Amino acid sequence: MTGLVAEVGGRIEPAWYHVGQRDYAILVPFVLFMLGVAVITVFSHRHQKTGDFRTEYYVAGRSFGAWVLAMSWVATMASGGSFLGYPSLVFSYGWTMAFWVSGSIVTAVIGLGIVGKRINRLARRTGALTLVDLLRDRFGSNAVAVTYSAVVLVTTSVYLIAQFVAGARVLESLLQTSYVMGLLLFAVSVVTYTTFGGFRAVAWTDTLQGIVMIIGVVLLVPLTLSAVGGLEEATLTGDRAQAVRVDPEAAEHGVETERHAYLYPPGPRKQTEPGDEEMGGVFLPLGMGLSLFLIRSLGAVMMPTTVPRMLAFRDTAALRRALMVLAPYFLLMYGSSLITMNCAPALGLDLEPGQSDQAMPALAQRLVELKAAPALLAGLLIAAPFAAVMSTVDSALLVISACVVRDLVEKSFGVRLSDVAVRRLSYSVTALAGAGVCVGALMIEPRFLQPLVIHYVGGSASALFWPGLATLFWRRATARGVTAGLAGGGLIYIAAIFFKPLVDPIVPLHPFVFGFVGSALLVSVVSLCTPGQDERQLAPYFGRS
Amino acid sequence: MQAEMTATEAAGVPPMGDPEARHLRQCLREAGVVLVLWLAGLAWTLVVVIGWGYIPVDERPEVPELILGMPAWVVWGLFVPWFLEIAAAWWFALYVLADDDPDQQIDADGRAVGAAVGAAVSEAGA
Repeated sequence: MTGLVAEVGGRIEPAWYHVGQRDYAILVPFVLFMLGVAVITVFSHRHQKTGDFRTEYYVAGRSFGAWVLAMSWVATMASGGSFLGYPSLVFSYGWTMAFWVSGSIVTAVIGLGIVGKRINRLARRTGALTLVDLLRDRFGSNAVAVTYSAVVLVTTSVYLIAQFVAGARVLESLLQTSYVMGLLLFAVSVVTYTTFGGFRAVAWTDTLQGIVMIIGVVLLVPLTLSAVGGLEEATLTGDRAQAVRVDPEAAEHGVETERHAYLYPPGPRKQTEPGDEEMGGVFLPLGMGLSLFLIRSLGAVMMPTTVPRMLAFRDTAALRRALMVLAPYFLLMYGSSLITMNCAPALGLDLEPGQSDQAMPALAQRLVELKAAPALLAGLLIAAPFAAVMSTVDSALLVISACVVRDLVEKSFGVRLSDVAVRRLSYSVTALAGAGVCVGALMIEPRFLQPLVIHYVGGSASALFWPGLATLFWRRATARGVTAGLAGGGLIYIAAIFFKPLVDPIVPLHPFVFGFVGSALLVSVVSLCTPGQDERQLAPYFGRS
Repeated sequence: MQAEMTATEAAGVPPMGDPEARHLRQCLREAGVVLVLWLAGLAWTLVVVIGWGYIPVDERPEVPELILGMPAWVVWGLFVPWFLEIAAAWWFALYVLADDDPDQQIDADGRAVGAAVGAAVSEAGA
């Protein structure tokens, strides 16, 4: 290997650390965005020296106003899955993806309206810095806390791997470098600012990222429609009108594409790995569409990465205004992707199967090639999905740090730590979690990002939804009932994944449905079969019976 | 004659009208409204998508019905309910979601002791 190139199989290829992007008009907006993140991190780090470290690092002094709450919540909720994974699936499966995302019509009101006010008040009352603090205080049980922490650690780690892959792919495309180089650059930048900035840096950068994300994705709509000559043109012109758009999976197996397969559910055939002998079934059978409605709406309620925001907002007025901002945000986000990515094939965006997670940044670059968008704007458009990934990763890293330091080491294992020790341990765990996930992302490269994201949302909702709601609203819930719901929901979800091939021919439902129902049954039945809590313990949570 | 104490009173449970019970009732009422909005969204989407979207291949129209360049089932099954749900979310935020004083301090028995200091509570808990 010499300099920036290496000889591979007789061919000269750039070394893994080679950065090929030389278009500074694309790089400048991205660099400015990263500078903004750096400034926020420095500012947030100074805040940690002024108040109680734990309260500052994990809930930012419970000081969020409406905008920070709204942008931070949505930027965390909308991950690389929303800005890379979902567009990738729209590109691959067409208008069918409208049903896939339909649960998002109620995500904001469900996510904030049911538990927001309740969690916030109880957290202030009990001094809880994490939801696990609240569970432990309510039930006086370490078993509940440890089980909850374990579920959160497992689901969040899987999620983080998917997000690291997404971040790496954006940088790979933006900088025209290798996947490994993209991954390393992404990991170093996001782990650094999360580690040293804490929750305040995460929330403020999320706000910046939430704004960049929505501007980027909405701007793509008029630019794409203009380039393609209108949405009707994109939907009906060429092969789409005759519904003979090549279905890669069907074509590989010599099967004719069904008529209008890209316009109506259940959509074209599922794309399987190249070379697979088995041909995938239809993409979105009704049962799976229904499952996704449930996941996309109910999954927002107790999602480990968004719940910390519920502990950090200032008052109900902030929650109210945040809800009003968020309700249309989701429409702009998913509606824009649905429209632009249904236009993308008509613009000659010809990605190989397995590369469609690059569809969003590739579309931005394609618009520049077609002179439909200035290069400077393309930089912003590419920064949008990157911002989405960063904002999710930083929150997830802090969730892991809080779980390990606060919930397990300090509270569950009873290790007494000084402020300095907590600070050092928090920094170390955040950094180590980032490094560990980075290694995971080097080893695992999923074909589609979105199914992994759905597994995170579905898996965490299966285990956490009912135990969380029971803790907050049901005075008859017991520690054993909640523990059973947590562990049972998670285990049923995992079992349902393995038995899916057997169950699918009978009821094509997502594993979430089985975990969700099983967890509800376990929480209620086990709670009713075990002795209820003492009234004195319940009074601070529920008042008089 | 002095009435006998109930079990909860004997246990030192706060009197009726205590702020936690009121807060819980308020939250449950709001959660009920959210549940109705969720069910409405689910019902609308399913009816339209099943009736208009999941059409057997041989029954699909030769020229797909489009509205604004999108398949009709997408407009009626996704965008129309989405606009309605946004309006409903704003209504919920403005008229249903009641104010709650998050800093209200409550003593060990659950009695309100006036507006207080969330940060202090947090630090004490830490």
